[in-house]
Amino acid sequence: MGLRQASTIFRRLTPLVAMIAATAAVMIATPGALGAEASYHCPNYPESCAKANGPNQNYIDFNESTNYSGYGVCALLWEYLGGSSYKLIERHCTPNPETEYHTFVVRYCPHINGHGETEHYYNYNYNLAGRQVWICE
Amino acid sequence: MSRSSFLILRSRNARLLTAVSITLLAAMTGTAMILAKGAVNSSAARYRRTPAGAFAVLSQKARRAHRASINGPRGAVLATSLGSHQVYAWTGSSAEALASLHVNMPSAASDICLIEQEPGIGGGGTCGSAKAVAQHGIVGVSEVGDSLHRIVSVLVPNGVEYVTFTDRDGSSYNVKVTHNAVIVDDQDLAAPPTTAVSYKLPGGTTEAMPMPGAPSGL
Repeated sequence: MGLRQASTIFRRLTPLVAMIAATAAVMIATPGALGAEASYHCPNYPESCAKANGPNQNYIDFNESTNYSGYGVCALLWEYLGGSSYKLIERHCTPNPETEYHTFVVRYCPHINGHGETEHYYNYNYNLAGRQVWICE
Repeated sequence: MSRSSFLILRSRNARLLTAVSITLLAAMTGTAMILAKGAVNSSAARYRRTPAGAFAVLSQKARRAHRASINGPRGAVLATSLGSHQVYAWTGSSAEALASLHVNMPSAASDICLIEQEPGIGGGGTCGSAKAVAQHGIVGVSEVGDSLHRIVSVLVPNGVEYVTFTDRDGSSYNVKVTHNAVIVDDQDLAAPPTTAVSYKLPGGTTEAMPMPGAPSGL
């Protein structure tokens, strides 16, 4: 009797377990579910990146703490103008102590993937000196 | 023992077994409910004790209410806005934030962030350790465009009623805190080293901060 009941329960549960497993497999395989669509243009981050040297290549400059005399920190976004010219187009700073706070720049690249979809590029300072190439073309 | 006596006894045993089973089940259910309630209460108490608990805007209720919005950074809560500029509060581990934003950076730290952005364009912000932010708040200065137009946003813990801004001419004014945040568009804020932003924390301490100087490297 017990074995028969157990067998019945097992038969009823098997499709349910299979369905759950299949759903989990689909979720894992779906691009984006686990950040699979990551597209980042600085593979060696957090090491310093080379300065941008082409059209549409901007870069983010970190650790500009001198303006606060060692107190506070900024993240800067520079636009490449050609040759050796760059223009500061955005700066985010905090006067809070740089040992406990960090700053970042966010830009949206509407056409980064050719479909007009929005990509986010968040770049964090983490009190690391250096530059990070940021491309939106 | 006669057959009828055996049947009666068997019937009584079955009833007894059923009663014992029901009692046991009820006891187990009750215990489970008490334990679950305790766990919820404990969790709530723990939440209130975390640094993020110092910010009503980061409460679980506010975060749930914000889930439907698609304009803000993932997991962030819209605190206040000024024109097209929006101020968000965010909390979580740095590693979690970076992973959701496609950046791999190992960190177990818990952060609270102040994010200022214009939807579809960009923005930026400041993060600090949750403990530091709960104690001091965050002042974020965003400068954007050819003229580096300055927007100042502030995230303060519960109990801070207003933030004071001081201009170059020495005049000052208060801005009421909304959802732990304040945002102003003021191009005349006092230059360093004069304090441009200040607020009084619930403990009585006053945070006073200057604006950044001119960018270097231009």
